[in-house]
Amino acid sequence: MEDPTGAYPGRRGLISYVKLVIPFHFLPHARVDTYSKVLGYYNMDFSQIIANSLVRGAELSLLAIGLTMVFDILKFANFAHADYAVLGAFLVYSLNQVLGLSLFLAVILAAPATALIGICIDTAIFKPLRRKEAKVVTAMVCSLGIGIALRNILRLIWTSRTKTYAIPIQKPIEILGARLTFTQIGIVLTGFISMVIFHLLLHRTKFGKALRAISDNRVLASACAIDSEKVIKWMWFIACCYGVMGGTMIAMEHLLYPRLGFDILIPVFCAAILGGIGNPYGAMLGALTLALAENIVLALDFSYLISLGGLFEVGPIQISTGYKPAISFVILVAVLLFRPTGILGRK
Amino acid sequence: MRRLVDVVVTSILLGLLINVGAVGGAEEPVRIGLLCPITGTQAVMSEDMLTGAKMAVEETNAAGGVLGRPLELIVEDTETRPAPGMDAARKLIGVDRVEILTGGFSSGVSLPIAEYAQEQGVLYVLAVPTSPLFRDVGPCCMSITVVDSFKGKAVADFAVEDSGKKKFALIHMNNAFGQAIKQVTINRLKELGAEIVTEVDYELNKVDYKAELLRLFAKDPEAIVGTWYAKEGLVTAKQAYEMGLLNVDKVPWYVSEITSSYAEALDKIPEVLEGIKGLDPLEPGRLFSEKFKERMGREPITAFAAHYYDAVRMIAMAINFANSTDPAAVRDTLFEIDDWYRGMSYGGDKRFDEDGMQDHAQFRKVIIQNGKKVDY
Repeated sequence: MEDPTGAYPGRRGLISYVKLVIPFHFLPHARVDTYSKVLGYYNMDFSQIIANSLVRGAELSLLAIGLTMVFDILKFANFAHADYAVLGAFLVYSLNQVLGLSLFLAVILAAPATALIGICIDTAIFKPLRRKEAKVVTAMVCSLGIGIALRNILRLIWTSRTKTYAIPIQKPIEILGARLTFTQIGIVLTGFISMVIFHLLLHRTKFGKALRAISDNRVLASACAIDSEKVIKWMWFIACCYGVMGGTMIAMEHLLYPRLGFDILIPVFCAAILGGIGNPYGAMLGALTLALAENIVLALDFSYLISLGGLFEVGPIQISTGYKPAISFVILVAVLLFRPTGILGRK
Repeated sequence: MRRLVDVVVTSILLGLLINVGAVGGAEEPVRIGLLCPITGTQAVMSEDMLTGAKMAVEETNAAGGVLGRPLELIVEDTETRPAPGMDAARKLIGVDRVEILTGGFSSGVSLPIAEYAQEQGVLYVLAVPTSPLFRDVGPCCMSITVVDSFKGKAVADFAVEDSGKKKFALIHMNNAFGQAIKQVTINRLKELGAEIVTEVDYELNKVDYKAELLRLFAKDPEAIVGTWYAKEGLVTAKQAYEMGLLNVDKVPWYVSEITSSYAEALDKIPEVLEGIKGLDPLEPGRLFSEKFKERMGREPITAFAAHYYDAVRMIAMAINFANSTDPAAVRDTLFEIDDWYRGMSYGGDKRFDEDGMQDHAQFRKVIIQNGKKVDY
């Protein structure tokens, strides 16, 4: 694919073409050049950035949904959520590697098993706290402790050595200029289908109605004969199942090790808060926004802006990749400044 | 009944006294602290390194121990992270009261520990960390491994000489080790007339390095020079391959240290690494390798097992020759025995320079072929 200006040949991808070439195809040369430079056109591979962001967004959103559901219903941030997901991913590993089950079947079995553990933890720890009307911070600190305990139990059972599923390494295929493996395509599709199912669950089932009622007003919902404890159990079930899917997808794409939950906790929280904590659609949007922002900001070349539109000569100016973890937080703070409840958060 | 109770209580008390007497009379071992990344990003190599250290202790004790007493290691896990590493060092120095520390892995983890040991007057003999910054810590810090100033220069020389390319992109971890080796590599590449088109720093313990890889290849480099730890090496190599970026025939990759970068990847995705070249510590001495294999039923996956062995053996010898565990006396004696001690790591030459660092460098050039490291 040739650069429209002719100055920077060899850029790839149909999406690059759609975004950069078509809208400015009929504009004067200088305008196209400016547009390209401001967006750091030299260095961006748009198709790949969007593909990478979709994969990352799909993984994070499955985890963020569970986190945001628990917050919406129980009003505390569950710091152990990512560790539940990793526990499920380890169960998948054992079923896949030790018993030789297919990954699909392993997830089908591991997800409810993890959900049962999640429900047991709720019954043993969070339910008594709810009964005693303990402060939110108490539940949060308890979840922090559960997370640490789970991480160490994982280390005890499966050791600290990194694990991978029995998936052969795959060569990428090119789709619209982006290079993706079949696993990554599967992750994006699974993420999308899971979101649709979640939407249907929330809006087309009795459980969804009950969940929304409890989220709006738990006392009123109880007065309407909704068994809130039963709904909470189902909520844990769904949150854990989605978490296991997210955790397994991250482990498939990357690696599996006991500390994985801790390493992904911050991006998952950022995604949930960015989208508007308590709102499942916000969690999806937050995850995708975060993934896109991380990838695009790192690819931007600020030299054109810094040189005030090319008034003087400066070399390429890009944010060091060493600051990547900070990008999520800067974006989070910037969004919260304008929308303190997050992108889709309720006022 | 009361008499029976009296007899039982008296027996218990007597038993306790006898036990206390027995403990007090036993030979108190000489304890040294060993810091090892048992968990964390480099955990895969810890079994080898611990085995190396234990072999040294067993050999020392079989030969009469130190100061006529048995040598004992107190092992603490650094988790390959600075904060747990510092906790481990504080425990060894403050609670276990050791006067000598050894082991260590990452410079980023070991540097604050070395500074703390210096403050406390405890000798820290580094077995693996390689940052040149250790030179400035003080007299309590010594190293039996080669510092990065040699390694960074060597990988730059290798990359330019072997590839004949002029446009390089660099990727290093964002910690003391990565940044130190990067700077030396940049300086040397520039001296050799090469152009650095991109410098990428990455954070440890992340699960996604695709943005970093896109940046690495954004300006069409002709060759890549970098270094990783085992976990990050595995993730990066896998993701680069899946993004179609790992094609060494077109853009060759040169790695400052193949073993620590690809210990996990060589085990899990060897086919992806085909053709990657780099440097590695010299193989451990034959005697060490044979004993290791006899004990573990396999070859060591890392040459660092021999580093831990050498560090413990040298410390034990120095304590015996100094006739003391005093850190200053042991340090002075290490300078005296380094001429004739023939080590099992890095070709066996363990001579220190005036800063207590190794004053020479020997590496082997390796290439990954058919899923294995072979001499290049």
